[in-house]
Amino acid sequence: MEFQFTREEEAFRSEIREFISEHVTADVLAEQEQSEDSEGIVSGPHTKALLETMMERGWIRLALPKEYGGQGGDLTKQFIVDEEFNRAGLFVGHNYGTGYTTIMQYGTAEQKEYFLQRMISGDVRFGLGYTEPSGGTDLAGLQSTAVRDGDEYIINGQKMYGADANSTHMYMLVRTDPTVEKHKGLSIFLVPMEAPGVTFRPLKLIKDRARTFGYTGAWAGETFFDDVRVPASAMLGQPGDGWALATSGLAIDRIGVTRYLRCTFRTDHVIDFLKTNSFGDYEPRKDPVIRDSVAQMWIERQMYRLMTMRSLQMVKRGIPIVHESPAEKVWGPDSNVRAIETITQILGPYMQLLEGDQAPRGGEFGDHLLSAWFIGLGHGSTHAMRDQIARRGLGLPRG
Amino acid sequence: MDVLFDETEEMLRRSTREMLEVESPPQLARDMESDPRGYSAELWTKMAALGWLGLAIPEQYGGQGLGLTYLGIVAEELGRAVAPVPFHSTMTAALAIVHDGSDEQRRSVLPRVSSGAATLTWAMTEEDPRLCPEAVMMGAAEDGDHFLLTGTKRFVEFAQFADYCLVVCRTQPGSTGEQGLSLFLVDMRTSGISMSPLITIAKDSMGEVKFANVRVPSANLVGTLHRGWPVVERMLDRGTALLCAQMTGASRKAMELAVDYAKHRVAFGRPIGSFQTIAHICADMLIWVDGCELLTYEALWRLDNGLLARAEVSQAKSFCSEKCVATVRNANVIHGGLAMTAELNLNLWFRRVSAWATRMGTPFEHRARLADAVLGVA
Repeated sequence: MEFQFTREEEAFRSEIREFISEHVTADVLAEQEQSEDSEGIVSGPHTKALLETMMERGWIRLALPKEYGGQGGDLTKQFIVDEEFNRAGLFVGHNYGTGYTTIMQYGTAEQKEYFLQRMISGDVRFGLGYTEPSGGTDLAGLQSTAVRDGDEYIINGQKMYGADANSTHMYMLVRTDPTVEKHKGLSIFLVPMEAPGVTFRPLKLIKDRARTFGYTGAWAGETFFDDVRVPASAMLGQPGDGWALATSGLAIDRIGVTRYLRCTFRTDHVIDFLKTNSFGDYEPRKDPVIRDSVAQMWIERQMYRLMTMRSLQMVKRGIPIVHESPAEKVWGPDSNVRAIETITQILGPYMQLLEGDQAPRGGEFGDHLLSAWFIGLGHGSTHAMRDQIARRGLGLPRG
Repeated sequence: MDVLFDETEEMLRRSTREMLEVESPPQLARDMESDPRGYSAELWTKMAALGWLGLAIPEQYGGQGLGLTYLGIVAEELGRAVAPVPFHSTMTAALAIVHDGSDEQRRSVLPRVSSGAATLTWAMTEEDPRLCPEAVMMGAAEDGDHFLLTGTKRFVEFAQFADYCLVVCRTQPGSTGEQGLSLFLVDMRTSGISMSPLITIAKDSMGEVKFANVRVPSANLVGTLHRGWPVVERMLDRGTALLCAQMTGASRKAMELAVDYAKHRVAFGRPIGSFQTIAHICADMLIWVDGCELLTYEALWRLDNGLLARAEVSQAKSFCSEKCVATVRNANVIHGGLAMTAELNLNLWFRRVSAWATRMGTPFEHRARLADAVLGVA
């Protein structure tokens, strides 16, 4: 055991922090705030220039293999880069499971050549094409179909939430064989959003602010596929591989720095706020009840940090992740919701303010209350995750 | 950063578990509940022979000079086996001697701890149950080259047969708080000491110890006169982290018993573990005990490496107290009516974890301490 970063890693962190204080300027942050992008890195001239510099330094996708556009670097260093930039408000830390990792592992030479570099540069942004109007947790029960027609497939169906206006492609799970058991007849297609027959309709979410403040932007979308023709080469892996590809990608998505930070920001931020603010003569930080609540939030936050470090280390050591990834996907979102609801109790009426001078941290907390619970839904709901923990981690029988 | 066990740590865990599965079956815990000594001297001797008691004691005193994390692994496994031994109390006191005792104190006490010849305990709590300096009222008056200790200490673990006790006293009359406290190494055979048992839900050995003009040589002062609080606080931190390990081990075992039961108990024609209401409780238990373990080893590791660890110890204890209790309670609930019966072994874990959770600081106390670190002192 070694519960601290090495000297070299700490020095690397200082280097990153120094860079951030110089390069993550107000202009960059303003571009981030205006962005409605839900997953990829934002364009905008200042951000673009910054990302190019980061790329030159080898800090983007640091731990990914060199032949696929990464730096072949160390996973812990990548964690540090992602953590520091995310903390500074620049969302460079993607989860790598959906799309990147699976294309790297299972893609054809042609697919790797086309997609991997472009994903890093931000020219390709996948929407996650899993959930449908009929449901998301029962993923294998999805209705969208792809039917072979010569060298092509014809895709029909509808996908919810996963793509937004900035998505260039859909990472799409569809049924290619209706005659076999439901988990076996699925396949993944990499479908350009500009293909004829694809219609995107934006959906405004119940939160107002852009993603800088929260887990998602203020917009998602639904995407309709009407007789969309794609070449057979748009399939990732083989027909029937869809379930395995989707679940392996999701397992990777459930760990890592992004969700960890998005689930713990609010705790850090309310502590900063309480340390430096009072309401007139009333100093909430001195109230024993509030101190107790803040300590409780802090403990849950620390536990999530350690869980994140655990899975990071398991990946580094090549230990198979069993229940640890769904466990993170339960604890992070659940503790995040407990935290924001506790903050509601601490801030009282100020909590409801979305903007203005009176709004703590510019309305961050109010906005987050609206969306904190979203985090429990995506990439497998917390309840579905408990099923997985019970079955895989504890060997309990399927219901 | 590596929160996982390395090979040596894993090996220690495995060998400890294997030994205790043979040498400390649930029946031993049951037997010791009605034993006047309260612990198995035989098991204690075996533990000494295997070097467990000297793990964290320097080699010159018959130990192995390894860290607190190793001791944590043993504590976790002893908790898992609900092993009836005065390990926690002895180690809590012994480590205070290791770190803050005089050479003479080390020479006279530590080799006997390593060899299993002596058991130790510690005594701080009086009427006010909080583990804060304000709660210590018992006085020790200077009398030539001795101190005279007078007062009553409660909740002293395995006091009845302990050879030495570390006693926290107020040496400066009229002082308050951290000032004026001192720690003494007291030979429990000294005249003027009397004991009465405190019967706990764990039925482990706990006592109230009365000191009436107990003469303790000045050489038995541990640390500096009137400035004993930092020594005491470090002792409490180490003891708290070890207790967390013990609770975590016991809770994980209770969880495993419940999961096993849920796999085999059939209701409505299927194993109850296939019902989500049961499965999800089990999933939460696994998340909790994993969390207890992560928080505990971080605290132990930091203490081991001489880093600030107050926040880490307190966050571990607050979390363990809440989640270990919830885990053993859920294990009961999954067993249903059976868990109400004394025949089922599960109550051995339930009663101990519930009792241990009350010791070495409540979640409220620990969160108050944590808040000082996180928000600054109010």
